[in-house]
Amino acid sequence: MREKLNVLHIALLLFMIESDVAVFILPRLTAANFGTNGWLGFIALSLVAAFNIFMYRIVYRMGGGRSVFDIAEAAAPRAVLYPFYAALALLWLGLGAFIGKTYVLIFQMLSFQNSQPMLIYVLYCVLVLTLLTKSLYSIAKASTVFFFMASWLVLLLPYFFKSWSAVRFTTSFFQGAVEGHHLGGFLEVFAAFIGYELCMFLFPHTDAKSKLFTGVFVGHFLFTAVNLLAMVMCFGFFSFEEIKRLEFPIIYMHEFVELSFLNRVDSLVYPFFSFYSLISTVMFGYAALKSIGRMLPKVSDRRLALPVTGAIFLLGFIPSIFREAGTWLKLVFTIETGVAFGMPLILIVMLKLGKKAKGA
Amino acid sequence: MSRLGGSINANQAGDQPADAKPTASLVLQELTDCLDAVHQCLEGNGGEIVYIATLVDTSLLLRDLIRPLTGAEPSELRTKLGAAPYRLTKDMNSCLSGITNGAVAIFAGEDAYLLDLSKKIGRTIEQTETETLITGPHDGFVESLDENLGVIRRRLRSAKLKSVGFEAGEISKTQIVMLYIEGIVNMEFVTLLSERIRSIEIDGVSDSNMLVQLIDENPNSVFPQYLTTERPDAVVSKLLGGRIAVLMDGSPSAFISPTSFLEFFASPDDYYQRWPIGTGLRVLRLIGFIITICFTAFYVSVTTFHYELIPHTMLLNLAESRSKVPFPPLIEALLMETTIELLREAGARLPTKIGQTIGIVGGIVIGQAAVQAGFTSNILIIAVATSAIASFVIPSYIMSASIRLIRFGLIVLAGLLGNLGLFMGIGLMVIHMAGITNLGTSYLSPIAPMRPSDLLDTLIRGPFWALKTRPTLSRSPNQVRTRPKQ
Amino acid sequence: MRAAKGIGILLIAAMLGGCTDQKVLEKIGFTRTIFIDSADGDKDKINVTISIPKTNQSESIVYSNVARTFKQAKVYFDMQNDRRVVLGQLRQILFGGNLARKGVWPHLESIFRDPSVGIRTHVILLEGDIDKLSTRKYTQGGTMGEYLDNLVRTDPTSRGVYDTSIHTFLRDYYDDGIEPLANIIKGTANGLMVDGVALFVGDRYVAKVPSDDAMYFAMLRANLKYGTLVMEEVDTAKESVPASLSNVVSKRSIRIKSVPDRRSGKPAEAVLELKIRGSLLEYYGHESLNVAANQRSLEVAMEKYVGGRCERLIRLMQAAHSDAIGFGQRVRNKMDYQSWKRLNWSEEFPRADIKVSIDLDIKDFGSLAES
Repeated sequence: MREKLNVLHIALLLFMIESDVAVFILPRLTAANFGTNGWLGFIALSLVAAFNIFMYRIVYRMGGGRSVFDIAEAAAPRAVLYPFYAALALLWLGLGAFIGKTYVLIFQMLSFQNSQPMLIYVLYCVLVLTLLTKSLYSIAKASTVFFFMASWLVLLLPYFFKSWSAVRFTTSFFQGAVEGHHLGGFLEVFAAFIGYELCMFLFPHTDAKSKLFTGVFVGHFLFTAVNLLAMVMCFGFFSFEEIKRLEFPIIYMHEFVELSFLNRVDSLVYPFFSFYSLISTVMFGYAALKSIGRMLPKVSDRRLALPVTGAIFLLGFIPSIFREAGTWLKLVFTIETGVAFGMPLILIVMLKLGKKAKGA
Repeated sequence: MSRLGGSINANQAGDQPADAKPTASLVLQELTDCLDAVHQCLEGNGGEIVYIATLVDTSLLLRDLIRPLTGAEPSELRTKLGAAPYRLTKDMNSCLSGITNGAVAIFAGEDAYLLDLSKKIGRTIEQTETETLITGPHDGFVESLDENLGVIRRRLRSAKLKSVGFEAGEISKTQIVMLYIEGIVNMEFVTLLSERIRSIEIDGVSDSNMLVQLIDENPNSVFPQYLTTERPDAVVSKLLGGRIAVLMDGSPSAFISPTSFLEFFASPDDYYQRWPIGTGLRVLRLIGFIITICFTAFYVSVTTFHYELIPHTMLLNLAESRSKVPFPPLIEALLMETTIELLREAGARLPTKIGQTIGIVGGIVIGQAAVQAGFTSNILIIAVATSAIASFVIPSYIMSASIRLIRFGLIVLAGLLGNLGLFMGIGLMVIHMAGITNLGTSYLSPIAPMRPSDLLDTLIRGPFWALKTRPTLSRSPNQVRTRPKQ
Repeated sequence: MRAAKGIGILLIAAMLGGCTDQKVLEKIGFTRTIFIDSADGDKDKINVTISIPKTNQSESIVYSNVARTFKQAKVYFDMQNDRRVVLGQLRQILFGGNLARKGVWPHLESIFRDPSVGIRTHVILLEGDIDKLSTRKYTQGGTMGEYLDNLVRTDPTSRGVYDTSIHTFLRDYYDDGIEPLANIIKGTANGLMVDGVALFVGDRYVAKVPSDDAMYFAMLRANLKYGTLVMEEVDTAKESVPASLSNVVSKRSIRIKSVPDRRSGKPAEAVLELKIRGSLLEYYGHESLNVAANQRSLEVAMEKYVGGRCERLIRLMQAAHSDAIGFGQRVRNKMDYQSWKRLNWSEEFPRADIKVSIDLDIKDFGSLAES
């Protein structure tokens, strides 16, 4: 009696995949890269991402719900595809590792300045491993619970209203970006959305009843909406020039909270976000695991979980300071953005080829 | 049915071939060294009876067997024995199992007959000690399967209530009865659970709570995966919800399947109160759950790492009370938690009256002396006591014990990594629960998979007009529970 | 089994990971107050004083040192204190007047950069001798830090005092249309008192709003709830008498009529409108207050008085080049980005033509109908 994923699971899973440490710096990124009222630019990018998701939907429809590997292998010989699988697996492992390591590095900066970050990262990897050894359905279940566990944060919102003022938004649009408008900057913001492309790994876990893409779109727009809300709060709470300079605007916003029994909830909120990074890492790890598994059909997924987590752990050694983590993360996110857009195009072409091959 | 291959007693009739014709001497040979085995002769006809005195109701024996049969002619004896309530037994195996179940074996000539004269052993129906209620039915299950079945039958007077019998335990031969309501239950679960129970291989089972550990899917989990209860009303309501209940002879608790984590926080009480109050109780228990697992851990985390979380004046008090304590907060908390657990365990082992004394003595010693001696801080005492009290709010004792154990893990993690450790511990717990299944259903239901209609009867206790459908967890073929009033 | 193994690894890693960063309560000294002023004699150096409350809540440990930067001074404190000095519970940063006149930014930044410092920390200008104030006993409550903390936080608007924190300071410092503020605290014979509001240009303290004007300033700066307006001389046609309004609720709105024009050299024009409503709970005049005409004329007289006070305050700010009210933000929002950037608002602000328009209503007259 295996259950298939349903819409809500898919939506929340996607929400969790898209959310990671980038959430904390998004207001700064949009302010620095788009300039005043940069949150509008965020909406625009969200629509671009939505278009990209739409491309995956075309693949899903054309392929009749077949897994992307099946689609690819119907059109091209395995020998050609395997190097690509390997490269993608490496990319995804890197993404998972750098997202996790960045999370740990930020945490270290905030509260554990003197600890060895890799030891905290080991803990993180243990959680990744426990999830990877479970089925995708279990991952979805865990992420649903994590999502609801963090939902109380919304209750903090009214707290910021009294220090919020619309005047600080300014009336100009997209002015005063730090380095002007350039593609690199947009990509930096766009990286926040990266993760939606993993919906292609959900194909085999769904059927017509699960309404995969309804879920994906809901998750994506939920992510957009939540971050937009956070950004709008931020733009009215801090002044524009200040947001451009604050390293983690959202964390400072939480520092502002003073309740009669709790002060500065930031050190409570930030650990909470480990779940968001965790699910991102796990899902990229899962993607890598599936790609590797495709090359080694005889090895079961469960047995691959340990080596995959091991690889994520080892890749975590690469960035050891904040600047490096940022650079690496930017690099892999940029490549991944390319992959996210290129993949459906290639798959559509492959689907056509596959059909032709079958017809002939 | 698979059996323990060639172990202690492959069949009841040890050395004899199982299908040998039972005779008094053969049976007696089997029952050598059984002090309570009685062999008597019937007067006037050469009939012999064999029984186990401790299992047989002697007054019934006298009334129903000895008096009518004494003095009967051998032929008359044969006719009498041929009719009800006597039954003919043809092989040693069934003869012996009849005797060990409390029947009297009568040997007349070539044939052996059995008459069931077992006496009731054990308590009669009385209030349960572990799951008491203020309002609602006060009867609880007892150790006798028949009584328990009767109690349920009396509540569900329908032929749709099916009871399927099993036997478990190679030596103990414990009777197990699976109850479900035909038409409401999902038969796939029934088949699955029957298979599980049949495949148990063990010499004996002494309680339902032991039985469930033999059939669950995640034997290494700290969480109980079948809901066990001593309350017939709880069993009835679950049966009506489309679940399967299993009763075991010799155990005062039934277990229910499929079930999920949140159901352990529900008590039949919730349904006897008005729904807003019932909802309040449910929420209170969930708060109790959070307090139990987090409160002490949070104290440790704050005093060890996150001093900035606490408002200034409270912090000074905290630091003041900590200043005399020689241990780091982690050790301090573990010490106190252990002490509380010792107290609880001591209270549980001792008779009620002494148990209360232990509570008072322990309360004074820990509450007053320990603080004055600079052994622990008074705020920790509050934290530890609150989380202990909160843990007793959880209706299921088994679940409450599991949660108390988890608490220790979280305290250690919080003491080593602060809030991150605490949350990672909780994360690990959630991940673990996400992997648990019960007859293939999700343990985290109805949160994951999300069933908004079921949330009405888990996180809160919705009004009865809103609880129209059976929980989706049951996957019942008959979803609708009530029809709204027209 | 796997779970058990996982927990095992988790614990070992956590044990190795967390030990060095423990900040066990009784082993740390949480700084509550930092005071920074320029050092006497050496203009490059600063005089840093910190105060760490003792757990008995009535005393505090005070260290002070002359150093180049705050962190340098902290090293010196660490050498003396028997517990690790941490900043996570910092409640106030006090700046001395001399330093504030030169600019507080580098020091404030040095403190804020520490991630353990919260943005809710009060930023205050202190007038007086810190050595005396910090070691003194206060009848109002334990140590200076606690007293000060309560003083600035308790119902700040009723005294027209702002909760000036790192957050508000940073926010207004970075914003190009408004200037930051700080409360001024000074020592008195038997305690501390709020002595007005310090006006800044950038990070330099330039002028002071006296405490008498604090309430009027508060109304100019933001909407106000539960204030008290004390008026010394309300000039009705017949007499000039003191009066005061309590439970004042005021709503402020700023209308920019025109933005500064570079070509014609025309300054900005703005109207600041105040809608004030309160109970008249003090009135020394002789007019009968239950006559509607008298009530109206009293209101008009009060409007005039309040308008005068407000305009005087605005002139004060204009003279100091410090736009503490945020006219600049509104002007900015009326202009396009480039011309705003070309404009030097702190030069333009003094020339701006700002009018105040008051609409005052007396809600009720308290317990007496006749006076």
